[in-house]
Amino acid sequence: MSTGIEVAKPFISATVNVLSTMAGINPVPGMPYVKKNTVAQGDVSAVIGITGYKNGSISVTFTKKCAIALVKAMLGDDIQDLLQDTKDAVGEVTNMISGQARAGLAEMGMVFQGSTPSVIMGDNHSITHVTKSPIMAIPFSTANGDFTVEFCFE
Amino acid sequence: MSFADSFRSLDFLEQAQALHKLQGEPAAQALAELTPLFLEPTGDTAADTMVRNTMRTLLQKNPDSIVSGIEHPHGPYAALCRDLAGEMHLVEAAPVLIARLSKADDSASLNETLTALGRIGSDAAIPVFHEHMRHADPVIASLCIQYLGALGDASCIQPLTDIISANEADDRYAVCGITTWAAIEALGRIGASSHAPALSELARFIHHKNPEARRIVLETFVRCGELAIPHIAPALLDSDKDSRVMAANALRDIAHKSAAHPLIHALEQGAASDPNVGFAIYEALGYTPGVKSLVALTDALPVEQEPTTLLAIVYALESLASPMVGKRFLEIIADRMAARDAQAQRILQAIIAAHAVKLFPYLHADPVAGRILISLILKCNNAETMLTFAEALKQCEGEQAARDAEAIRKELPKQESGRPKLLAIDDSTAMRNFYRTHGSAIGFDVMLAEHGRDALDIVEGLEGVFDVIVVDMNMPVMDGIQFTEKLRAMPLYATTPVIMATTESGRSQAALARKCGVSSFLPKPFTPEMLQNKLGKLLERTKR
Repeated sequence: MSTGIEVAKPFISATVNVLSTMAGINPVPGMPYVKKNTVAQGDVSAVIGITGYKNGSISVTFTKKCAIALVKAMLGDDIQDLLQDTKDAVGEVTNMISGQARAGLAEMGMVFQGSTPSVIMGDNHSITHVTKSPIMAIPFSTANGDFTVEFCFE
Repeated sequence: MSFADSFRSLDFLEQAQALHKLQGEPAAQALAELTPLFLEPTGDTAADTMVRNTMRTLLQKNPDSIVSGIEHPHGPYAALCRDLAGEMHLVEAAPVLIARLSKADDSASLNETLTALGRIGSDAAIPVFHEHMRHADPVIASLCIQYLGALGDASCIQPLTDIISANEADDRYAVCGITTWAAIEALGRIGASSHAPALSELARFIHHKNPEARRIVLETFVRCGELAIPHIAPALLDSDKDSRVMAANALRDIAHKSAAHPLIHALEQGAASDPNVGFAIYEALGYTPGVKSLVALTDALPVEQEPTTLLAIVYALESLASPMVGKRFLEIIADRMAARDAQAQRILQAIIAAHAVKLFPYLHADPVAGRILISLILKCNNAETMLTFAEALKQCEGEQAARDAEAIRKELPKQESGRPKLLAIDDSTAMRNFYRTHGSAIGFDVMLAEHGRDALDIVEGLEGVFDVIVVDMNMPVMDGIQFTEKLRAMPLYATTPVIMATTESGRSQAALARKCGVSSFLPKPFTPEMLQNKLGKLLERTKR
């Protein structure tokens, strides 16, 4: 499978771990599916390019509600600029997910390098994954809204 | 004192040195000394990481220890050995891992154990993958399917076909599951490795109800290359015309000369009675170089009158252009002109529409055909076309060519900001040419895009607004419906006329399209007049 589905589980575990550790949020993974197009399933996304064992990109897209819950959980009441803080939080969380997943994969002998995240905000934005291969999307639900993790490999 | 005990009292640098020294010892002995440290870590992350890395290195030198270590009672040690077995493709470890699977039943290690077995690549694991290929967790199921494909296991062809079929059920075809994806690719790998029937099974899904699944089937066939051709060929004669189109598209994308025979055979059997199918077949012939293709194309050139099909033929001949083709082309035109047949004019118009710059010099050299072409260019009202042929004239000999180029440049339309703008979006090059030619002819400034995402980039980057948009329903990357949905979210485009051109006959799609904001439909195939009629009406409305 051009995804190399063997990398899926570490990403799912990392997502659950990072969010519960950093934000006390307990996401529940839903049924994965093949994404139809490049339209992002939410309002703010972070995208990271990865190379090594396989080349591709991963992204995490939050709905507005979920992103705000994330920021509040991470910064408490100390929010200066909601827009900027949301971008930072989403970028940071995605970076951590990428890092933790890659660490787990490296222990299994599958070594990846990851870029720094690019954050995109805006209603109806689209995410351009690096390749034209099918994209695997994993929806997650939380008490405060949903988010989606996607990946796409050559 | 043992190595482990003394290690704990060393400082970081000394620990690093000690581990380095350990690696110099015979592996079995070093392992024995290090293992207690791994089983009871120091608690210092940096030190424990170094220990783990050293452990890996020592185990790699000692594969027997890996195999026996898989059953170690200490969880992390067993896990390390399991992962290393996979990484190093240790075939001897396979039976041990398989035995472990039948004992334990927790999903957590199921994924890792299956991954290790998959990476080892041993046939012994096939029954285990079969057992879990229908697992409730689609990630686990897909993993098994992926590895069965890699192992070329023919016995899973039927279950895989069932999985792909199930995704076509009435209540399930809207979304493509990852197990469907895995199954399609697995069938491709099994077919490519040795079991051709897998590819025949896959060909049954060439027009799968789900668009993503269709795309994956197409890409899988392209990856299989010429091996897939005999299995796709029967679909060219399928009773469902959409399947015939998809089959022709698959052969186009495989782009191998052995596809010419089935394509031509399909033509002879009347597969092109539907113009969309004819279009797809001729388009595919342009990608299958060879004498057979050329003969089929030049046989069709004097008789095909359907404008879009003729465009596909000319386009195909353009991609196969050579002096011989140019000569034959001219013979056909001269013959039609002598017969006072409007076909000659139609062909020359298609040359312009297709921007056939390779064929152009051969035709320009003819006194009659050359003049007709130049006059068509001068009247076409499209700057891009005129500039393209002005450039192409440089490849033509004689002073007449230079004079013609000069005349064209003089006739170039000015940068009229007053002209209405049309955006045409279609993944077929020939169709894009068609829109450009006929849209320009009635006064639009035409811009083109291959799919929805590129189209959105153009829309966002434009100074000004498009007056009309024509979009195809099915395109890769972003289809017409998604594009329209996103377009309508932009305030500037809330009421812009959006025409959807499509061959798909599904009623449910039309309803969805309207819901997403499509203004009207234009069923393919359509003549230039039909297109211009539709655009003309909308133009009138915008002028008011």
